[in-house]
Amino acid sequence: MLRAGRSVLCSPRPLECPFLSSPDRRSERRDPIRQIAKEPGMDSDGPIALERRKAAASSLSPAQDCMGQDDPLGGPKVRRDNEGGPLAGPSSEGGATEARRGEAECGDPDCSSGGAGELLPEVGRTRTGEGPGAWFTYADAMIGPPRGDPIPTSPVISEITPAGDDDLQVNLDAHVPASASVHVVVTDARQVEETRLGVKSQFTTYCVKTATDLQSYSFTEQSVWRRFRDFEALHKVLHANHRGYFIPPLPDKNFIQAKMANADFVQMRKAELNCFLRGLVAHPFLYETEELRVFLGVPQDLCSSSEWQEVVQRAGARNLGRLSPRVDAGPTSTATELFEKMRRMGSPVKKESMKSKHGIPEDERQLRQESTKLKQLETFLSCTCEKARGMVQALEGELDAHLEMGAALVAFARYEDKVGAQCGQFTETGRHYATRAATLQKAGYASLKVHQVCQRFVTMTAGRLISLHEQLNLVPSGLLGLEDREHALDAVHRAEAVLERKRLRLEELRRDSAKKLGGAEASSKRFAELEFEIGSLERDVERLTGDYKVIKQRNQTELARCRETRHVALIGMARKVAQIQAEMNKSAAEAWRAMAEHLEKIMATSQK
Amino acid sequence: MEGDPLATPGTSNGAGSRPAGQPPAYESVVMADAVSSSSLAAGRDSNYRKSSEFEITVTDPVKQGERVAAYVTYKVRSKTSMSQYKQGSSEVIRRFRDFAWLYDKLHERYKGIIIPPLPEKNAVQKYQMSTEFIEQRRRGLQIFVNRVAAHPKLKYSNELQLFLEATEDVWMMEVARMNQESGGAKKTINNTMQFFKDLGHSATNLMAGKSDDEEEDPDYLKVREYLVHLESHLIEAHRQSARLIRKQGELGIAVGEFGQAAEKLGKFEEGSLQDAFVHLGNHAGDLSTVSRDSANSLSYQFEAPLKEFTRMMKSVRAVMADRTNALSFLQQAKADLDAKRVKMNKLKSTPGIKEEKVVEAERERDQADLRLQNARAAYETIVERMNEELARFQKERAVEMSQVLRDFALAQAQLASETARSWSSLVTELQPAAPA
Repeated sequence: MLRAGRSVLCSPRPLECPFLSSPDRRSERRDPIRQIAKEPGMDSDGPIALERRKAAASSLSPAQDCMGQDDPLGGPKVRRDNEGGPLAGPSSEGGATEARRGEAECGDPDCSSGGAGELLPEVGRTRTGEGPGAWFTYADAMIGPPRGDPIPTSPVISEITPAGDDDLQVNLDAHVPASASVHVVVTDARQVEETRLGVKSQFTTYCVKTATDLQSYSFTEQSVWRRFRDFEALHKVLHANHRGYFIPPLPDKNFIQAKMANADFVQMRKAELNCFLRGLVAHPFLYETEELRVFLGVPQDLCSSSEWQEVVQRAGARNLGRLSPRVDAGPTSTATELFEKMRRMGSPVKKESMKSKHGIPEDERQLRQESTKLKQLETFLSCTCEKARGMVQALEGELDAHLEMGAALVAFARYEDKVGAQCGQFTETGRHYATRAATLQKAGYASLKVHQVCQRFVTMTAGRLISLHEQLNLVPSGLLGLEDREHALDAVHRAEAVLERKRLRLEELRRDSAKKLGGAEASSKRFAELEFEIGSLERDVERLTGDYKVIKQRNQTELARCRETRHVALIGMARKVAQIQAEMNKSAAEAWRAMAEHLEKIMATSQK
Repeated sequence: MEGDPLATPGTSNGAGSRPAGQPPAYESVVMADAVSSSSLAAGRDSNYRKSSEFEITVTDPVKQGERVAAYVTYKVRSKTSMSQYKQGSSEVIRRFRDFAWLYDKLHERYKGIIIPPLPEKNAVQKYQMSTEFIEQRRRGLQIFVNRVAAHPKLKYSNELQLFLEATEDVWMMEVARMNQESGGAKKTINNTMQFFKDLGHSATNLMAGKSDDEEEDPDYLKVREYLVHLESHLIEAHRQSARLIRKQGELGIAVGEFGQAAEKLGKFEEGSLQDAFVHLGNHAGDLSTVSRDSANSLSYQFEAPLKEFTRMMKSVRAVMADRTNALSFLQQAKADLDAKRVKMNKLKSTPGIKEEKVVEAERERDQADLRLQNARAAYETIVERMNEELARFQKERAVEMSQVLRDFALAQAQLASETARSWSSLVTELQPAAPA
């Protein structure tokens, strides 16, 4: 949802996007957002990107350090122009944050980096089944200290860097700044101990910072601490109260990992929660719901806040598309409920029965088709994800090969040079040594340079391709929303069935009492009861049908919206990836061409 | 193998003439003919790369015989301007064994000269007779003959002439005769004796705590050490380059697969995404082809020459072994002469010894002296040749290395820019496709 939301928000043509508020409102609300951006912790690329840069700076050689600062993923641009930085916001969110998120996710065995991946063997899989996990590892590998880097000495690299850095500024086209009306960031996480009933336990809380200028919010800036349980509650309440909307997915609950709470896990969860919240505030309807406002706004512990309790209690009252407790409580309906549950288990059975009993209206049928389509889409998406991961891995492999070949050639060059120095520079043999050394060195440097240049682009590519993964993650929430509608329809049908039965019963009673003398009188109380029940059931049916219609409406708009955002996101992704790849290959071509020219020169001089 | 054009004897047009679209064979790079070297390379290579007197091609591999006895023959066409050759051009059929014979003979006769390497022997692959293997070998053989013909000394050799000119029958007879001459049985006995002598020699060296190296030119020792290291570096470079090329091929495949998956996804979704992802799929397919072709041609252009460098090192090693042998032979002759001298002096100073014995001892001493002189001459020839050869080798290698690396860079640049072009045209195609 993050990606989808952002794509809407960051679309180069924001005015044409139906989900954005009018431009004048946007201009009003710039200030708080800008303020937030000024805070280092609230920088849109957040502490993660900073950390990442720091890590890169400290672990790589000085030359790479300087590259890190010019990194198009973040760095100066972000700070200079947070609103309009062409790459700053979006790409650093997409690249850094998620790359970081992916870092913890890389549970796959082929994950080449140590620590994180090995400690979290199942996370990546539980999230998306076979889903993509390992392709993040690349970014991870790049963030982490370079393992087994065979060229530790700086002179080599420092000679490579000066030429290339300017032309490496990738001019990826401008993403218009993210100017959501609500701006949310999960900035921090800390461990808290609590003692409940004498049992000590520990949990992690996350700092959620919000900046907004919406009238409905009672604040412009707020910062609250929430724990995972609270996020869960929010999700639950939202789902209960706003059925039919596609609510962004929460990260998976993982009891053991949460207890262990190692840094990588927390880091990953933080990114995921961020994604969840951003998805919510980017949602054209959910962003102004009371639940979200309370969640973001109440400074104290959520469980103990009265506002939240109210919200939760009200959840029952606005329960859309559910049978009222009264109907549910009846003896007949428990049986029906049970039966219904059994039917729900095997959905084909259910559909069969639905068809036989009630004709399915056209729009409902279409929506059901949509849901199968979504499932198909899921397989296509996951297949593409898989292949994208393969591609990133292949890119990574090529990168490694460049690195190692460069290293081998440079070592070779050094060796020739050393021997050549022993021979003396002015002898003929010495000259040959020098020539060879120079040649090999140039070749080695070219290869290393290609490695270095491409490294960033590959990270960016991986960051972009995550879009696919996000879309894949969104599918279940869509399915859930569509399921809500089916359940609502079921409820309508069930209520109708009950109503039907009651009516039959009433008629039967009437007939019976008509036969018996004085029977009508005797059972007048019974009639009244039944009539009352029928009345309330009729109201129920009406209400449920209304609910169903609302949910259906929501489903339809949500489907359209999601498709729209998905298309925008995916096309945007494809374009970005293509751009990045084009840029990467251009740089590589330049590096190689430069090397060929160098060699020409060397050959020319050695001929003399 | 049945459907293989190579498998049927009499196919006149085997892998020799490569079908259009295939990358240039790597000899064109190594031998720097018109294919790879544009005007840049034209003046540079004629000196030592390709012989100006010879034009030799190895073509038309044809499988002969059956099963285990099967072998492949090649057609060796040559054109020459050397006065030594009666006809200007000739065409003979040779098999790998004959090339190997040429190599051995040259090695035997021209000790101290770095004989260009033959392609590896590979018994397993040979019996599988895969087209690829045969093509690879054909290329290697062609380079071998051309290098021999380009060598300042070897090009005058009778062996080469025989190899290039003799008809099959004459060739067979000559080979048999020359093998006889070098003497099968005699040779082995000689070898055995030499082996024992060597043993004794190294034993004395051990006892005296010295090695032949002390007698060697210190410069040569340095060079020798260098060459040993060089080999390991070359092997590493070759390994890495092979890896890079393989990875590039893999990347191409991965991109292609991604494209296919994306295309499927796009076709499933209607509207703008469909167009966009179909474009993506098309381009990815193109990219895949481009990178596959490039990986193929790179393995000829880059990996194979590097591999040949490593093979060349083996020849160098053989030469170094010759030199060591010659030196130890020389040392032995010296020691022998000393012993004989001592013996003679002893005899002379012994009163009442028979005159014949002294004469005999003198004769022995003179013989030893002669042997020493011969050994010294042999050693010195080797040293002289080697100095020349090593200088040539170094120089040649410097140029070849630059050239191969340059071509590699150019190929990489081309691949990268083609890839870049494809991606950026995708960018432009996606631009209008993005929904307004």
